[in-house]
Amino acid sequence: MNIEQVILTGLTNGSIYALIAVGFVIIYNVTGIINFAQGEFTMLGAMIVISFVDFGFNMITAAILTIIIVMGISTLMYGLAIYPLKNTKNSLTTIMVTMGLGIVITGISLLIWGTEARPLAPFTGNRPITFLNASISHQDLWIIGSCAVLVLFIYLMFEKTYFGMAFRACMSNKEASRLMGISTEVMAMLAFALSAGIGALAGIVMAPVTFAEYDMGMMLSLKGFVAAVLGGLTGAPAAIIGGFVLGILESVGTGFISSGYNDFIAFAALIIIMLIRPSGILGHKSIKKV
Amino acid sequence: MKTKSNIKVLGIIAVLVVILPLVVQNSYLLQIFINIGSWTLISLGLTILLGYAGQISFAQAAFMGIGAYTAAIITVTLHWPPLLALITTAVISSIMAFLVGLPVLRFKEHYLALITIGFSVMVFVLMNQLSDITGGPGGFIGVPPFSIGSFVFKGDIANYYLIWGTVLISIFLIINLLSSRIGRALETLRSSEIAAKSMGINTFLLKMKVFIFAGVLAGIGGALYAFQLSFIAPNTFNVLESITYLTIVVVGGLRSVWGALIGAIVVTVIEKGLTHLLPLIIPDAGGELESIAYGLLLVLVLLFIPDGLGPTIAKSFKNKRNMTKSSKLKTLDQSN
Repeated sequence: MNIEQVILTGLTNGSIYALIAVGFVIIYNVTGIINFAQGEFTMLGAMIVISFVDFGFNMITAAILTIIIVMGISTLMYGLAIYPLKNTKNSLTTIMVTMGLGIVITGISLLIWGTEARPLAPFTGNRPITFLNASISHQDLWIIGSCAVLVLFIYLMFEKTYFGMAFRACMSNKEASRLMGISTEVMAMLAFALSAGIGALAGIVMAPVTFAEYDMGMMLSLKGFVAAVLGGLTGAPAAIIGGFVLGILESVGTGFISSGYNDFIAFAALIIIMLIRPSGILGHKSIKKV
Repeated sequence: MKTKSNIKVLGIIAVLVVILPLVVQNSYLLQIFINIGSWTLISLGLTILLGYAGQISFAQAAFMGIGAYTAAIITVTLHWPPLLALITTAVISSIMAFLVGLPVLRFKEHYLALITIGFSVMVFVLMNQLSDITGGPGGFIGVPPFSIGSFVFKGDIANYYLIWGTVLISIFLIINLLSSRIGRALETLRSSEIAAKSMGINTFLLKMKVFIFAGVLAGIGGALYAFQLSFIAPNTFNVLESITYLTIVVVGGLRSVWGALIGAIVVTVIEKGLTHLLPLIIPDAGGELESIAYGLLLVLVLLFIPDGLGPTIAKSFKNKRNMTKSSKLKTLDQSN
């Protein structure tokens, strides 16, 4: 396999991890919670969009409805299980709650959709495009493209809107933003909804490539978490870079060594990176030791 | 005082454990008790790691796998006696835990979570890929039963005593540990790491000891699992299985010596109960409802009993006892 192909494959997988990692980072920065149900949003996105398409909706309507539904599920999840824990000081408790919610969502999905992998037709044509020395499918372009559009969207929202400013205020100082009249609870709820929307989008664009399976959420959560920490858990741009690094490490492992070892290579490299830069690739150099 | 009452409880449990196989002759039930025993063993160290050191580890299943495969390879491939294999298992798991913990235990909790996820995935890949040594995805067949000298632990009852003996000894060690200097240091670490540091406690070393201890117990649990079943496969030691052990610990209660035991019992009972009850109510229900119930249990316990079942039971028991101490003493006198 040539180097261009490896990088392109890495970028495609990396886009998915990046989208999940961005979800992690948004929730983590606003609420301090590491949401291990993040990958479930992606699974739900893939599953629900396939169901809508099977019902006969066109792709765009199906995608929009899916994103709205997943955001609704996430908001409900926040209201029922996360909000009641707002006075808990132990971050372990909330992490475990999100894991439990992930298991519940996985179980419900199994109940609804069964165990077999469900396919989805690619959004546009099937013929791969040759680019430099590598070939890339239409769907891969969709994945990379939607990641790029989302990055732009997040940037504009965070930097140019009043809402984004409130969000950033919450991220940098919760107490001060509360004093300024920003409701941190509402912000937390919105963070959950936004992350779920991003996660669902990742699921929608990846479904034609990977298919959708009820149990793919937890693994996606773990990989997204890894990408987020790799970026330093500080902000969306770092998370995106973390996602790409993880994606490329994986495809290098697959392409040059052996497909059986790709996870091994990716995680070994990850551990080495963490040893050299414990604060993440773009993280602040001063790490809180206490 | 606490130590004494814990030892007393341990005594009662030990008696129950000894009597149980004499009363219960059903091999299916015995299998369930063996299962509870190994889950307790694997989760025991996690109780202290989560409860006192505040560190999340996803590596319990991986350590269990390392233990199981070490035991299998040493006894089958190298033809060493099982006792020696068990000791080697403990040594290898502790070295592994040391290496995993070394770079990250200085930092906040999610670094250990991250590294243990990575470590578990790597261990899982190796189990599948090194098929010359491990048998690959198909698994490793023909692990002999555990034996000391000429005494072979063959059959369910012998394995039951073997596993529960190990569990009881481990709990006894933890009770002693918690009432020692290390226990007091852990107590300080739990309430405030800064305070612990300023008292001159080397918190890194302390966390490391706890992490290694948790790893070794899981490794031994895995080895005993291999000796008992004689067949092991990588899927049992997948990183996602570690979530089961986290659930056990959280449900049973962090910071309680009995947390792992109570959690293992509750989770096993719920799992087995659902497997048998659900088909009666909904004929074509499969594993999905089990996992929904499982996740719901975890969420509900965390929302409504954040301390877990262990400490909550202990508290209500203590309150009752304080209230009725005098009357209880009277009834004791009468019964005597």
